[in-house]
Amino acid sequence: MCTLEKRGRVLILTLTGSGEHRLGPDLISSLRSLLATARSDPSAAALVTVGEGRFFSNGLDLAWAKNSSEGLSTLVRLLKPLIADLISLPMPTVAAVTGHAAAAGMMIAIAHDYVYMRGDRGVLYMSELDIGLPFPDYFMDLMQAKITDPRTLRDVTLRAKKITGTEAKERGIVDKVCQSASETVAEAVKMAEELAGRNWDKGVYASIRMSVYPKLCKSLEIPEESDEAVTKHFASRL
Amino acid sequence: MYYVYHVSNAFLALSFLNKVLRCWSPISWKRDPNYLSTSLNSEGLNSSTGKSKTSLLCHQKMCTLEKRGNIYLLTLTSSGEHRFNPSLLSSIRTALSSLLSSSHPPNSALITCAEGKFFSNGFDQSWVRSAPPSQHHIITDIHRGIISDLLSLPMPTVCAITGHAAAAGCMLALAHDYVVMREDRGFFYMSELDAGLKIVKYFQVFFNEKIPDNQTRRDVLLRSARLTAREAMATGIVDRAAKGIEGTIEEAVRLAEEVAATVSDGSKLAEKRKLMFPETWRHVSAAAGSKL
Repeated sequence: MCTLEKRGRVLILTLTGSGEHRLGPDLISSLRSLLATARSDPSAAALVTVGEGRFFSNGLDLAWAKNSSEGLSTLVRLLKPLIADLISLPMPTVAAVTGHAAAAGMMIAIAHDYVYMRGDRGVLYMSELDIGLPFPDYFMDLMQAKITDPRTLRDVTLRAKKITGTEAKERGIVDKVCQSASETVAEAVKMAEELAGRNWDKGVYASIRMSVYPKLCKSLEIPEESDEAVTKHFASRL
Repeated sequence: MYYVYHVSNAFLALSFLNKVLRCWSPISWKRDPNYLSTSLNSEGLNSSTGKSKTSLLCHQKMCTLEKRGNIYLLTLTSSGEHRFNPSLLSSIRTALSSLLSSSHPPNSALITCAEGKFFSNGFDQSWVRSAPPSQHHIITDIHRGIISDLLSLPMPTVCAITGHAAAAGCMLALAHDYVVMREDRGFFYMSELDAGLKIVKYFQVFFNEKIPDNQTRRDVLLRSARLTAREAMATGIVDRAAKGIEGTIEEAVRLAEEVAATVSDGSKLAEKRKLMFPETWRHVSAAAGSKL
């Protein structure tokens, strides 16, 4: 369902297969396991996330939720720590959005530090309004953290707009738009290599990222770093 | 007519002040060897000799405050990096305090600028390395106090970033209502990530309140980008750009005069400013106490 490969200092997390990469308990669990591997690899310095086929991810596995006694709320509950893993990951992250990213799939994409996307096909799409589902609170917090232009946020959440890579770049959701899936991956890996080359302290990187999104971290139940911890770190660095 | 105020650092504790003066005024020490064996009282005057000349040794020519018509010009003087150590920070604070406590003509404005290649290169790491850990909080306390003073100032404020600004230097610039930056030289650079340092809490809070755009915050804090004036203008951090140090200050004066002309009640301006940045105000105002 997903793989983790290493190229130099860059880790590439791939959602494998030509399906929709729907996020059910198995895929979520596998992704978390691979991210734990990434976290504990001392020589890994950046992560790129890629989807094979037409989809980056089409969201939560609604079919599983329908057939299971636990339902959709379980999937919402299981996804939260996966998003938290990305927000707390001690290295720069780049999403290579190689196909459609909808609902929870779009959440995974924008939970990365940099979002690269193909412009020739594929859309970002918060489908919830169209299918009559509410947003989990942490979805809204993530969108408010990452989509800071008010009109773009409105179009994404209150209009369920399908946004192409080109439009997403213009509106500040996507950092770079490329001509094909393979170019998107290549450029994302190149960016990850550049970021890895800056040789940043990984703990400091994660700390700074989390300090940029305090409300989101609270929503994801990521513990806030205390003033004392920051002071201690400051003293230890000099 | 303009008045130049040499600013003293009489705020500081005594033994600490001695230590700092040793680093910063070796020439003064050589002039008066008796100084080494005397102590300073809290006003910075030599209590045993009562010589008022001794109080000059407390003066640090690290910043000046001039008045030119309705414009107050605060200059970080000399050509160094203007690194924030307790001396420089206290000097700046004294200047701002005098401004806060005095009366001024209506339609006044403050401009802050610097001499030399640097606006400010941030906190003085060598001071921090030489001071005991229990005293480290002093520089963030005073820096936080300066931001609090700038937010409370009952007149529009314009920062003229006349040279490189890094970390705490960037935060000082952002604490002004408007920013004019030199475009032919100098970077705006939140250097913490490159230096392997975590971001101090009140910096985080202020940055988040002042710079709402996600990609800008990501680039500046999470990529440690060095922004030129043009790039900083494109992201909304800087309002105007100009060539050369003098050109930048002149543009800052023009902008200050434009804005000051419309501000009739400075105290109402200060109140609104605090309402615009409520979390920052909470963190930097006196109630916050001495936390990093």
